[in-house]
Amino acid sequence: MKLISISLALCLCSNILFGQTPCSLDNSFDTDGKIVSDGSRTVDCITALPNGLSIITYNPMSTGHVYLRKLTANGTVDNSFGVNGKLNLQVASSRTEVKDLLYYNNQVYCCGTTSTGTNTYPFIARFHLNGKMDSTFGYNGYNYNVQHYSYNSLAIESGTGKYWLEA
Amino acid sequence: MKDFDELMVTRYHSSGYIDGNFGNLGITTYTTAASGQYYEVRHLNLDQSGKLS
Repeated sequence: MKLISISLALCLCSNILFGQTPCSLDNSFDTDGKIVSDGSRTVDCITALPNGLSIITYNPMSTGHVYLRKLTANGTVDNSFGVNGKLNLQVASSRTEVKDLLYYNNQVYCCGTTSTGTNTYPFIARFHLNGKMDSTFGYNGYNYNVQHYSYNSLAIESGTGKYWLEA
Repeated sequence: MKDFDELMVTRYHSSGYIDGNFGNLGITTYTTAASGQYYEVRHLNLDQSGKLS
């Protein structure tokens, strides 16, 4: 009985000490440990930025274009990012979807697939941490390649800044 | 994800344009050994020696 009482006391103490049971949602993020945002979309990519910030992508379920948002460490949407807290990245006319997302040298790179409704292409894009496209990169911040359908993954050479894409 | 019998790796300059000095005009292609075989690649890794996997 004494052993059981000590075990229960230890369990209670651990909850008091750590304030959170293992694998539970972190309620300090947003208000309940999760963000529900932008209906009819799926979150596919997230990349960490310095100071606990992150960039997250919301791909469309059907036609439409990807939304990107910047979140603070506590899960608040940074409304200074893009336009009203959102970068709406459109490459071709019908659909744009991000497959990979990387932070490198104070800029964010993403790649994926884009469609006119008739033809589908892979694309690569670069934007600044304020959610504005980098107009010095490719054609006003993006480039695409008509020889395939999708860039699924992205890697950047730390020495040269050149990058590799897999389709 | 759609499967392909051909895997393409493309190298770009930091300016956003294809590096034509790599492979065939910036692109190298790997084809599966036989029909009915497909690649499904979801992640590309570049190690410190510059090798891709």
